[in-house]
Amino acid sequence: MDFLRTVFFTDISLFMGISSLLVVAILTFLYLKKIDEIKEREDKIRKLEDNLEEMDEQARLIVKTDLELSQTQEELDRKITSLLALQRLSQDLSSSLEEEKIFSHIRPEIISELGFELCLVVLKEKGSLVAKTSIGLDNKESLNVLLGLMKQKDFLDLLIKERILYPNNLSSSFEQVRKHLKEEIKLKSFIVSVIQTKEGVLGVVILGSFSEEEIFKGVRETIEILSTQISQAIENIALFEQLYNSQQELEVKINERTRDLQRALEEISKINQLKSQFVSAVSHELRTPLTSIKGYASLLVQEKFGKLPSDIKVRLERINQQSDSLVSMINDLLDIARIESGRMKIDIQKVDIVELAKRVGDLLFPQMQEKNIHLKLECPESLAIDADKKLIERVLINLLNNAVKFTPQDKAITIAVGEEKDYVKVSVKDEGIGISQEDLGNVFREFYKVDNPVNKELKGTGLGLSLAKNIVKAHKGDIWAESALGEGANFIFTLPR
Amino acid sequence: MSNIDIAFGFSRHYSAEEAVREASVQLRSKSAFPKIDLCIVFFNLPLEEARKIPYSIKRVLNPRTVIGCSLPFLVAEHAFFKRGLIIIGFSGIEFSAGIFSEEKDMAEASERFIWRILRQAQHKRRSFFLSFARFKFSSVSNFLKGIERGLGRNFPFSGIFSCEEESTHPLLLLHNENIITSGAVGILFFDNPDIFLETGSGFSPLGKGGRVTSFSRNLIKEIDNKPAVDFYRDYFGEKIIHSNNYFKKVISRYPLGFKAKDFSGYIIGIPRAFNSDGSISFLKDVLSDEIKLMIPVRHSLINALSNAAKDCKDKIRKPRICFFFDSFYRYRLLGAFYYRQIEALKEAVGEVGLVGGVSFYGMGTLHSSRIGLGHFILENSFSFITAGQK
Repeated sequence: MDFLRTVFFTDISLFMGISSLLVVAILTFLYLKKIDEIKEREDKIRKLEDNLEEMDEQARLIVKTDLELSQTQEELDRKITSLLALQRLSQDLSSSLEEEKIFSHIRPEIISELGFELCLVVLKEKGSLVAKTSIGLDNKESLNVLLGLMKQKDFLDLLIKERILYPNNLSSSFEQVRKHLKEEIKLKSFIVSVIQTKEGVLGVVILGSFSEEEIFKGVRETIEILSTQISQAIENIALFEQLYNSQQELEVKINERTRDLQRALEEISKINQLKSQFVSAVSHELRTPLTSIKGYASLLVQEKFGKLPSDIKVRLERINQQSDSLVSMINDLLDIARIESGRMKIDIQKVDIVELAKRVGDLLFPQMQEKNIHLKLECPESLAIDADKKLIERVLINLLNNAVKFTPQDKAITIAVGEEKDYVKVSVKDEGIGISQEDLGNVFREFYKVDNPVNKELKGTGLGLSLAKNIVKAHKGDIWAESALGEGANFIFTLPR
Repeated sequence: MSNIDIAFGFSRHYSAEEAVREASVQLRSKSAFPKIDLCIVFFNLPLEEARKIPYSIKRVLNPRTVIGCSLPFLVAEHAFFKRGLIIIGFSGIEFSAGIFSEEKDMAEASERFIWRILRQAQHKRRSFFLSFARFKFSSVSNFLKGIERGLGRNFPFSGIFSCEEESTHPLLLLHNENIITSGAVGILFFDNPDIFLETGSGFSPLGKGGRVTSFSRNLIKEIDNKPAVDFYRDYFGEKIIHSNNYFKKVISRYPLGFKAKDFSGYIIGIPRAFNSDGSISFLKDVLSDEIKLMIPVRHSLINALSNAAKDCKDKIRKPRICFFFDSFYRYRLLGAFYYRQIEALKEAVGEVGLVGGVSFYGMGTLHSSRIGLGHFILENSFSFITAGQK
């Protein structure tokens, strides 16, 4: 029993001992595993912290780079903004033709876009400095700046060399200016840029800031461009004024001359009117007795009042013929007077000018045949125009009559009809003695007769061409002659279609 | 539900009378309503010209109420202008408006201001408050506190604020025939039109950030158990402590971003000062315990606004007009690229009219009112508002 008890208890103790050992081993294993896990996690946390630190380090680097970049970006932005402002101002300045307008274009927002709060444009006038634009300063302050500049001896002359002044490039000669702008006007930064033309230094542009200490290099260049633009605008105005004054003088002279001409024209027109009235009145007065003279002469020639001695009959026939030419002359004069005074009624209708030319050719055929003159027609088949048929026929008759009169035996006359863009051109060309350049301008004048043997031999009224001219003009057409001595003459007229 | 009509007109004329006439002609050509109830006006004209605006508007359009303010830069017709006048005309809407001057007890005064506006409301369901204000910095918190008391902590509110101490362009405030340079004007919209607001900054978080371990109201005393200024010192060195210019340059470009619970973005806070005890002062109360250094990336700045514009526009059934107020700092940061933001906005809003401009500080509540952050000044941020038919 004892043995059994001993064995049992020994086994139990052994079992318990082994079990305890096992538990301790398991716990130790688990503990060690946990410690490993914790270490692993600690490692991970450390790595994470390292990563975070690294990230933060990168963030610092990003911030540093971003700061530098933002600085550059800011400069670039300012440059872009100031250039855009300058571009706008340049456009305004280049379109300004008055000095006052130049300065009114320099507005506060442009100065602000250029990066400044203050702007003063100062020009030299009668030995003194005058502020033309003042932005960011009241009148008293502007005056104070001007007085400060005037204190600096030979201020503008000294600027010819420097062209642009800013606090960092100020030589000792401008100490007075620096002190004044910095200490009295309390500007933290400023730029003084010269306005200069071919005439010399005209003034300065002063730009300043009460808050910004630094002036970027790019802005300095922009301000130099600005002052050059102002200089050019002032120069342009001077040139424009010069041009304008000359133009004004010229205009005054032209106006005077025009007035003189107008007066002369009015006088001529009055005289012409009086002449037309006179001619018309005289012609009317002449026509009535002339009709009686012609009537009686005709009856006498026809021996209605009894037989006449032959020498008297010859003389009466001459009276009858001369009466015909006088009637024709008076009719022409009356027509001219009517056209000139606008009393002539023009009966516009569709007229075939080619047919009309042929008809006139037929009408004067006997005269041409007498001198064996060949008539050439250079015309299309037909060409319709709007005109007074009778009047245009008279023009053609007058021109062809003239041509026949001046064309020698066995020569030719050419009537050409053609159409241009919006008018019809008719010419009557002869192969006669021609007209000198001197006479060419006068042939359409009333009673003008070229001094040549033909005219001495064959007397005319001197009204045919004048009447033709008046008729063509009344149709809103044009008439002229082309000729040279010995080369025949070409009379051309145009009529609107 | 009554039909509403909203249209706007714009003029770049320098003369107020001519500008009002030109803008009114444009407005009238877009609007079918014979009578205009409300005109909201944004302008940038010299003071002497601005004074002529109320009379000119009354003469030409004769609306029931005119409210507005000057902005240093205007956006209209999908372009950016430095001079001009925008008139937005509303017809068939319900609203009440008021004017407010700075007083000694600002919180109480601004609460009274809201009550005065509410009295006109006659128990109508109010939907949105728009205000333009110019005060000293010290008065802003109390002004907003009064508005919160009057309208409720999470009431949708937006507007423009210009600080008297910092602004180079004095903000002119317009209410009917009055033009003031200090105070506030406000307008409370009722049920119709439907108005939706989005705000944001577009700034991106940078670095490992920190945890606010000690703070009190608008002061952060410690970040990660170290004096708060060390957070900036760590990134920018000693120079930021000693150079005021450097400090100013850094804090507007790299403000702090506060992570708010239930809000995906960061709320921007610009340090006002580094104090001698190592704490940092802010304009508004400190929001949370997690902060990050924020950095502006032009692309993100533009995208944030254009995404907000898209979201905001899509939430209104019939959008009629989009208002957009950007902060001056964002404008400066975008610099010559600002026109790209306008182009992105143009794409986002499409045919809907877009007006607004650059202000100094935005003012308002976050659009997600469940955050319960109340009203505060949004710094380096934008507000985008869409209004339309309910």
